[in-house]
Amino acid sequence: MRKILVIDDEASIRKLLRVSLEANDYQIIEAENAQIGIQKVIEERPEIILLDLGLPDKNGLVVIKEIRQWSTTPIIVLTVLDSDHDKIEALDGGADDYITKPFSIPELLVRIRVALRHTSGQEKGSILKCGQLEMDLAAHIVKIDNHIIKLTVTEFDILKVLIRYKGRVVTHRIILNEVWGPNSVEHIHYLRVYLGNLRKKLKVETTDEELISTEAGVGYRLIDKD
Amino acid sequence: MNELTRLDPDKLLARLNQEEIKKGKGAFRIFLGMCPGVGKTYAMLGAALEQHKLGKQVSIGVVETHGRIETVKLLEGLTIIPQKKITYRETQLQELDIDKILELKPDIILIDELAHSNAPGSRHNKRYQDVLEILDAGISVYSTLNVQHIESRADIVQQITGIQIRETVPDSLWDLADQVELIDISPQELIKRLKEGKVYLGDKAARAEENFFKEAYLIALREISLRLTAEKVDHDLQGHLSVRQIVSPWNTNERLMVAVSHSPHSTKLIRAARRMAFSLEAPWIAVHIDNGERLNQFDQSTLFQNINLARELGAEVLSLYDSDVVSALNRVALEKNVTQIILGRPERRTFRVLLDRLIQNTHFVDIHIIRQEKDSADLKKKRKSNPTSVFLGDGPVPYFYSLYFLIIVTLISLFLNQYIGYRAVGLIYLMSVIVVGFRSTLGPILFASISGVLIWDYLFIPPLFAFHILEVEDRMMCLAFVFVGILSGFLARKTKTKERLLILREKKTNALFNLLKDFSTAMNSKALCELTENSIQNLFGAQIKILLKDAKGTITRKSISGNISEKEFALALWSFDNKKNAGWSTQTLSQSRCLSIPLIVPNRILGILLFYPDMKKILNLEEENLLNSICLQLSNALEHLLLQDQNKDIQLLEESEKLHQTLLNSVSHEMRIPLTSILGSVSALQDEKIQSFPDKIKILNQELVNSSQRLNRVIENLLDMNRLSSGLLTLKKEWIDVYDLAQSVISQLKIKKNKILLVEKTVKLYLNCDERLLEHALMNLLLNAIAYSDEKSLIKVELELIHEKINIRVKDEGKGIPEDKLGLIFDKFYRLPGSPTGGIGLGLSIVKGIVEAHNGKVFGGNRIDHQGAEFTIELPWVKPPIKLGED
Repeated sequence: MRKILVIDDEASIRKLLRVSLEANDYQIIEAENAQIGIQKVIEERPEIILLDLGLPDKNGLVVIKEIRQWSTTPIIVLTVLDSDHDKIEALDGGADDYITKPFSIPELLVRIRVALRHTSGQEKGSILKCGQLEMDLAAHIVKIDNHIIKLTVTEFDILKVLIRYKGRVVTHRIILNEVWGPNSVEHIHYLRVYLGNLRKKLKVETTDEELISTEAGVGYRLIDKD
Repeated sequence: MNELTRLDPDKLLARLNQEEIKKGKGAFRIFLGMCPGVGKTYAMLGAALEQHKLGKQVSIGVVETHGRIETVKLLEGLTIIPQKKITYRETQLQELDIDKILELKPDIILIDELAHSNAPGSRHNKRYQDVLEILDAGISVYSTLNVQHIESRADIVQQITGIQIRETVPDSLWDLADQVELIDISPQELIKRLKEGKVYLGDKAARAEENFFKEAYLIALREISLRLTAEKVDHDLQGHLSVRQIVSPWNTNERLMVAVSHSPHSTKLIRAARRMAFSLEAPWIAVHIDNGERLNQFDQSTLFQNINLARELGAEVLSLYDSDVVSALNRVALEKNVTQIILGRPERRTFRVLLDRLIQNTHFVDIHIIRQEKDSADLKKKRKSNPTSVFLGDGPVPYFYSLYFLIIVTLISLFLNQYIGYRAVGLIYLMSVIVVGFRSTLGPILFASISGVLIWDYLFIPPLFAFHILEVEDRMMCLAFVFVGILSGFLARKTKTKERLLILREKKTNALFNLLKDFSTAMNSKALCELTENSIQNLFGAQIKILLKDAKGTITRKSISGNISEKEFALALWSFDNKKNAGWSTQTLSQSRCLSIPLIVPNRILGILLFYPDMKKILNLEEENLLNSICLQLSNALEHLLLQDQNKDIQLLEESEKLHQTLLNSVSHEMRIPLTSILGSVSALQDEKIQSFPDKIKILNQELVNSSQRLNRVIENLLDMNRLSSGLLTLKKEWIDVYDLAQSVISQLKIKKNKILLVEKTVKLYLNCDERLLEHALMNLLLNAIAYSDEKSLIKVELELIHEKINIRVKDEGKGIPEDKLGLIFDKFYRLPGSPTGGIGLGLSIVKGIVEAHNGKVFGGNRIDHQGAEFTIELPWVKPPIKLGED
């Protein structure tokens, strides 16, 4: 049984998560505030943390930074705040994904699975896969259903970032930082242009299904159907 | 455009402004004649007929045909607006019906004889003021005028013909005309027409010929009118040039100053100054210096007329207090950059000395001396009849005091004489005269010194009881006596005058200072108006009423201190619409009992101050200035308040915006939590894996119920809050038993784990209230008590009647409320830090709203007997109907 730590001050939410996640064979540990939550991370060593941003004693963003100082346990942020700013800050601060309340349990289960897969060991070697998409980093080749797609260097680099975080949201800032370097993190419009092109190229081969989804105001996600 | 011909932007702006002002105004055309009978009316009608043929709507306001047949013929075909009949002292007078004209709005209106004075009781004193109002309304006016009626030419004509001219129009009106037409006719022709009886009918013609229509006069009058027209044409051309960017000499460096006094000759000076200023294109200042001299009624009114004349002719009028005329003039000249001073030729020697000093002191200024005639005997008499002369200025009382004082001194002297000798007694008298000098004015001092000498001589100097004096020393002593008396008298007078000026100035400064001080503390416009009322009552002994502009941007009859009459309101309204003073002592609606002063700040008008003078006496210049200063200060203070209010409104708006944001945030949060729970539970229930755990399904179902209830409570609270704050709440009051009410609320909370104890300290408490709302209030208090205290702790509800008040108390055993937060807990959306989740901070403010709607109060605090918080709802106790009590 994999351990999940739920840090949320709302008793009803905790109860809901316990009931539905236990039914899916997860073990649930509860914490009602940040202080207890951090303590439980140390004591129980959970494999994944579900963290509410609006905690009574400490801002969730601070909690993420604190945990990230000594742990790489995946953190999924639960938030009622619609503000994109908070999501981006949480993601840039080290959170792995976010989910907005109200959410449905199946959606949450998908996110949990994606996050767990990443901890279960990065895919080794130079060939990365995501559904029909296959990427050979060494040979600089991208294939969809075994058809080769021609990408520019920049498009290739962007796709490389997305595929590494496959199934998870990647903020604009992270992509810009990894592709163009730390001085370009504000230039989101570059990214829009390249991503548009990338999307077109990937779409041609895969009929009408989108491989890259846009998280409005936050970033992009490479859809992982596994 | 090259540099040289580039226009002065200020000038261009001024000119364009002038054109802008003229836009929307009617065109003004004046038909000028050198004297009656030249055919002005005829020409005017001719021009009007031409316009009529072109399709313009031409109406006749006033046309005086004087029975001239040719003129009467021209009237045919034009609409005549009948004149208004005004009854004045049992005579019927006909005047221009200005309201009718404004209502009918013809394109062009003919108004004959511009200089006419209206009958008392008309809106304006002068016909030209009617014309100005008509022009403002966008109606074009054709009018006629004789040259002798133009203000600045009146005295020249008077000099030439010797005929007194009473009716005049200000030169500004002449300047305002868009078009002037000189009706020129040779004097010989005119005399011929007169003789043919075409000008005046009957024997009037013969008289006129003797008086006015002498050929020599006519030639002079013709020259004046030709010159005047030429000047106007030249002036218009200059204005034209300045816009059409043609280089023209423009003298902006010159500034003229004319000294105005109460002398009747000042009018001539003023007119001369205006003529010079006009030809120089220079601004001019009229200065009056009050050196403390007391003026009689005649002088006072002359002064006032002079100053009004200067104002009418376009001067900037200044008035200052100074006992030294020369230094005052010098100061003004320096401050205002005056380049030329215009003075009258001094008659008296003292003035000639003044002139010499002025010339010595002002090197930088040109000084013009204007000749003036000697006062006529009649005028002299009027000016001499000075009731406030130096001798009887304060009435006979000071003389009696002096006499009384001398008698006492005499009695003492009679006693002392035997010891100190008569010469020493003389010194005592001398001292007494000086003492009188300290306390009195010139008259009584002279009286005291002369009677002192006489008494001393008669009673003490040998030979006794006789007026002749033997010894030379004694004679010298008597002379010195009189000399000292006169000297100290003059000194006293001078000091008194200075003192009076100082007191006046101080009074004014003090009044303004105090008013300003009070204004700064006044919190609302009503207080401001009352302060002004008091201050004017003290300073002028007059009443005022203030009408403030309401939200609709107009004034109503309601003043701060009661309603005003219909007549006064009409006056105030005129003054409000035209932003000008009106009523008593002005030229508009001057029959009114009060003076209406608009309260103006730059760009807008705030209201009207109606000034009800106590006595039928015109205000002197100083008083007028003071009144204007007060009005100005009041306007500023009112504006300040208005701005403050606006600021407050903006702040309120911001606050409500903030509240709105808080509401949205907390409501969305508070609704989304139960929604998350509901959606999560429902989606989990659909999960196949869950289906196999019946206990989990039960938990999820219970969660669904709880969350839905929680959601419902949020909505209920919001709706109640909305009803409470919108004031739409209507109470459905009925008599209830408070115990039952509490019992029912508690039973709804049975599912909670706390123990709730109901203590009935007073039995059978009946209350007339809205049951559902009060239940809601109590429910909120109890829910709070449960939320803020530990599970299973005891919560007490106490019911008690204390001092005719019903108390419903809720006590918990929680942590209590931090003392510094007690003031905030009833605020909307306020939640204590560290509060448990659930709730949007509306509960207590809803309790407060409900209780206050029942005329009660709610208090929150910490318990004294135990740890925890205590909330009390206090409602007024009303004796229940008998049948309820008997139950």
